[in-house]
Amino acid sequence: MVQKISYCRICQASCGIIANVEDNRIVQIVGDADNPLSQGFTCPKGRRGGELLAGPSRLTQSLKKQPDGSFAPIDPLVAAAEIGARLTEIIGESGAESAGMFRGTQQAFNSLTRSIAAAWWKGVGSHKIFSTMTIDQSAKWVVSGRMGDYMGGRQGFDDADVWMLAGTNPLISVNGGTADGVLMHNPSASLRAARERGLKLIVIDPRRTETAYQADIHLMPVPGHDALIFAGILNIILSEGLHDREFCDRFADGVEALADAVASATPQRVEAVTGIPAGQLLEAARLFAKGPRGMVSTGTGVCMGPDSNVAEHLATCINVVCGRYRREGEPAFGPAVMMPDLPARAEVSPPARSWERGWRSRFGAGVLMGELPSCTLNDEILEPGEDRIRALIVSGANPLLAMPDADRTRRAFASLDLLVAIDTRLSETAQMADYVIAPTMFYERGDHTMTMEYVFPKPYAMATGPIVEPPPGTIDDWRFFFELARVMDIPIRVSGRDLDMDAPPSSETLLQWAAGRGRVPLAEIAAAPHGLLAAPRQAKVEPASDAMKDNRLQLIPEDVAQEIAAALARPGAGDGELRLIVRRMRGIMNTLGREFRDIGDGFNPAHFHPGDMARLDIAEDSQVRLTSRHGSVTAVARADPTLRPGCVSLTHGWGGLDPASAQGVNVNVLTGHDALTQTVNHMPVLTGVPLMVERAA
Amino acid sequence: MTYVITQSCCVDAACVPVCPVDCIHPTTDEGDFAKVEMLYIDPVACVDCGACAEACPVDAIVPDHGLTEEDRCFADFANAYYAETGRAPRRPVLMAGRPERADAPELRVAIVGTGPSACYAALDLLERRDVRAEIIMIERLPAFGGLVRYGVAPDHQRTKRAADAFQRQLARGGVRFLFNMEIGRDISVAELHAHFHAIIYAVGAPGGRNLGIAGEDLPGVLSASRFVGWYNGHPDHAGLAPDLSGRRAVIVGNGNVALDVARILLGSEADLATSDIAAPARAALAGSAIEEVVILGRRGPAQTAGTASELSALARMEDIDIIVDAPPALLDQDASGSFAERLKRSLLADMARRPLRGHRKRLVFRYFRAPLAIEGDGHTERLLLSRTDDADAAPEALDCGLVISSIGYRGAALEGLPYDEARGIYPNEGGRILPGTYATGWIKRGPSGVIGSNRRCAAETVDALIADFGAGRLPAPSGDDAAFAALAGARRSDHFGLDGWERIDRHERANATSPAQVRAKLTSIAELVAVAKG
Ligand SMILES: Cc1cc2nc3c(=O)[nH]c(=O)nc-3n(C[C@H](O)[C@H](O)[C@H](O)COP(=O)(O)OP(=O)(O)OC[C@H]3O[C@@H](n4cnc5c(N)ncnc54)[C@H](O)[C@@H]3O)c2cc1C
Ligand code: SF4
Ligand code: SF4
Ligand code: SF4
Repeated sequence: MVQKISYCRICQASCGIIANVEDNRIVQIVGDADNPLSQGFTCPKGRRGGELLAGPSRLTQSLKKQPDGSFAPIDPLVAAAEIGARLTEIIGESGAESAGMFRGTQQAFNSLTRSIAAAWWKGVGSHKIFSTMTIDQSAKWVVSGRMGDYMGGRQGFDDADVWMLAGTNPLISVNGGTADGVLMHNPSASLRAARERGLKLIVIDPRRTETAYQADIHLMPVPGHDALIFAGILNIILSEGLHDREFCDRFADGVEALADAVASATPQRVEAVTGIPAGQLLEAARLFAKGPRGMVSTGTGVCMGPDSNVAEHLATCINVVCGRYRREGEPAFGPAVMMPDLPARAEVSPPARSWERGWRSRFGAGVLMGELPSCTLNDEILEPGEDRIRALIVSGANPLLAMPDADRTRRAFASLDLLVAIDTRLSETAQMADYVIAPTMFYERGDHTMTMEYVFPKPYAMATGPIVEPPPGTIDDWRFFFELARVMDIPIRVSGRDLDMDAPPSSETLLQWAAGRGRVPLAEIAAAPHGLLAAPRQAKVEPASDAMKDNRLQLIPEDVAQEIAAALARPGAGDGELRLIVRRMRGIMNTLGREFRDIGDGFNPAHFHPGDMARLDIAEDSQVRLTSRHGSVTAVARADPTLRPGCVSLTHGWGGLDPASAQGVNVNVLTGHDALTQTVNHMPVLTGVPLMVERAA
Repeated sequence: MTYVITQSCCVDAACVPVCPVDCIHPTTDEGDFAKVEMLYIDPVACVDCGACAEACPVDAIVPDHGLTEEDRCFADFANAYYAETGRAPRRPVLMAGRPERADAPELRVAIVGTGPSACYAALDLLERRDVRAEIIMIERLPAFGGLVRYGVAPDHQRTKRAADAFQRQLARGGVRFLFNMEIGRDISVAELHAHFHAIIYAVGAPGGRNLGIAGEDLPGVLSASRFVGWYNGHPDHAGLAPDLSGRRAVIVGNGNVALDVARILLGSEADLATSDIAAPARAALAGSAIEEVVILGRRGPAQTAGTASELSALARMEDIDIIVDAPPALLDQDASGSFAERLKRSLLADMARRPLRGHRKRLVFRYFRAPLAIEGDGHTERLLLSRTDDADAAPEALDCGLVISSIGYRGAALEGLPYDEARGIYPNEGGRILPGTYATGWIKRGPSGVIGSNRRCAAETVDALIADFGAGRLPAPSGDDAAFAALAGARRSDHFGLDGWERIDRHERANATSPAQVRAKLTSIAELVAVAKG
């Protein structure tokens, strides 16, 4: 038995771990207390990483669907050759746009896959690329596309006086808001330390979450009205003149108009709709505005709710009007270690509105961060049209479970001429595929943290080699994409180099090239077994460049103004109405991890406030039927006194598609597209959904 | 947030090696670990990863925000512990490594009993890399778990989960079971030995120690082992029908078992709602006339044998009065002894200061008293007491209808094995009775220690066994699996394996009388066997 040091790649937190390896199997994983980033922290998913690799559901060879519907093993390189040929054929017949790709979270935690797959895709020349981002956190992209970005950097958590967390439970999700990296690393101890040095914490969440338990002020609203709450906070800040005039004058347009737009969101109105006592909202807004340092960050609770784009926009407006960004001359924040050290400037990068420029789909969707909204994928496949998607490559995702309206997705996938899933297990999506490519998994490959740096709170980097051998029938994801490119005659250019398509480089070489322009040489990082904490950057936020100095953040462009008006006018919940909210289980990362032993109860219970259970005459552990306007599921009821009355909480990404499956309920059955679907990213409402609840027979 | 260890901790130290920051103490090599009552998490160093909570077999570890009102005191205990002991420097995480041997020889072992020590011995054997252990566990009762099922108090459900954890782990390891088969009655010791390289006796200590005083055989005098067996639905004691018609019950001895018994006697029906107390006991206790329970200690309050966490369980009972027959100041001022001892004294001092509220039921701790004789006309009417701190004092009479002696458990002899009459154990050296014959648990070291204490105890025994095997001292058995199965079948047709126990387990859970209750126990051999046989 040997001990190996590495880091977990199930989520962005990249926790350092020590693994006990025996007979090429990871028998135990313990957090690495000497890792300067995670300091020993791991979550239940991470500790079961060994099970993920060696569990019974792990695919150890690639598969090809046979005429009778069964799967037979296939060499992955042979599969790549066949798939490449078929893709070439389909593209020859129907054009490049008839090929699509869906990327999942798992692709993000593997630094080589993303770049090689992207280079191949560029050669394919199709716009039809989708990812889970647009059913998750893409509201943040929309905000930046409509408001623009301040390029001096956000204020950090480490020296903040106050922090507001909305719709996120980082002590469980290990994620205090995408792109923040707030409370992502060793979250509980970090929060404890921050509170000990005096940080005031404001939490907005309909459940008294693990994080809310630590809060100085916990606003516990009726779910689904985040836009109104943020508007209410802005209204207090702007009408009481608590905002940072200097920052606004210099960098923002539309402060007055914004003040007018949120004027109707009085504390009384917020109280009437969300149940947050007016006094508490005032207290929270004033505490936040007093600062002087600290930000609002939001999580899935906001990004998946009704009016998510507006809610996110208004949350960002709070940060802007309070000027919670680094000014010229302040120390620049940048965790860059392996990344090149780019200067931070006190300037605004103007709104890009990428979706209004350039290519548009026949359904009117534009490109957002290079992607199309996932919620248009089914239409792209099913609706007749010249550029209908006929072939789809799914890389590290399970869209059948992750997207609303699974029935339609199933129909769409069934109608494809070619479906390829790259997946470590026979997921619901993979089961439908013509080819399932079994990739290597983390711990079986070397990697480094370069692509994760943007979420690290410190200049940290780690490189790891493989700690176990991959099963012989698997292939590195990047190598599969490389092979596709080779077969399809597509040249690959990564890290500024044209690859020799007849002699693929090794993973080590590719990793080296990727980190080639870093602030700290890879060799130095690799020599630090527990990861390296680099010396802080000396750089200061530089003055605006000439080209950018006149740009300003657009707080309230026309479309946003209209959406704000609509969101603020939404009525509250009816008497006794119940609403669905999302909940994170520590053991589950999106659709990954449902099969772990010993996690949770092995099913996905519906949690209710005990008062609601009494009112509805529902007994603990009894079956209840939850019906939304989109569908209906049966779940086991559990009392949870930490919930706000009126909420039903379930975990997303759970359950099979079979409503009777022992793995329990898939919440997506309850969600779908309707009048509340967002513009730009076509994001449906996934939380705050009104539900009818009855006892099941 | 931080994690907190609570009442059910059974000191098996399973949480210690999984803690990445080494913040759970004392560890097995700190201080006198054998005497430790529970472990404590350092709330400052803990990074809240929850690894310990997953490793804990009895769900003792909970995040602080999940603490119930009653369990809040455990966070205070932890603070007090670290305030006092300070913080040891972190040791590097070193996971236990064992030698590997691919061509490990097969070792056939029978383990007698399915209590904690038997389970730990089996798990330890399964983890060895130097042998391939083929294990069968033989249990005289048609039920799994030994004292976890039949000793641990029915309102300590988290502790009882230790049995679930054992069962899960053993099932995964492929251990076989033979329930309802008694060694010494159905199969002799010699017969057993003919079929295995080695036998580990983990038979526990089934009886109670006698008081050795006049009147002990009067109706109304019971050993705690029987009374505990009764409320836990032990088939041997299910028909006990103790006399609960008197106003006062006296418990002789103040260890944890005595505290369990007092809690059960004084508890309300609501206190037992979630318990798996045997149905006849539940009914009898509901009609009990007992209003006062006196716990007698031979020595002073500082020497109370029960643990702080069990004392705090009594202290949290809201609807009883508690009288501690000792000046609180005396308890407070005494600064001697270990952390746990001082913690205990401060809990007793708090209880002593608690104002009397005129509740119907009360608990009285009395000290420096020893029982002299039990008197009564055909049944127990009074207990005569002497003072241990004053030899000249006149005996004192205490009227009572029930006397429960809780002065320790005692092992029983088994034909074909040596027996140490004085200590009530099988004489052994580090678990070795003879090469090929081993003991572990209470029958090895005497009736003390909690569930987790048996872990190291079993490891020591298995070490001795493996050493004998390695040295060639364990001849190959003459009978194989088939021969043993034939023998077992010839002796009894109503034995069964793990599947049978799983049927019982499911049946009992399914028949719980309320959603809050874990299970409704079957209490007769006939019923258990019938369900097991499906
Ligand atoms: C009343 C009481 C309460 C307790 N509460 C707690 C608590 O809350 N927490 C805690 O940690 N510890 C508690 N303990 C201590 C704990 O139960 C013991 O440490 C532990 O059970 C001892 O394990 P053992 O395996 O040696 O014996 P046992 O648990 O007694 O197991 C012996 C097994 O062997 C079987 N057996 C005996 N003879 C034969 C035979 N001839 N053939 C086949 N099978 C046989 C028996 O039926 C039994 O199943 C308590 C103990 C008692 C008595
Ligand atoms: S938080 Fe969990 S899943 Fe994420 S990196 Fe750490 S251990 Fe892995
Ligand atoms: S939660 Fe983690 S850090 Fe805290 S005591 Fe448990 S194992 Fe150690
Ligand atoms: S029972 Fe064991 S694992 Fe649980 S807290 Fe106590 S020592 Fe730790």
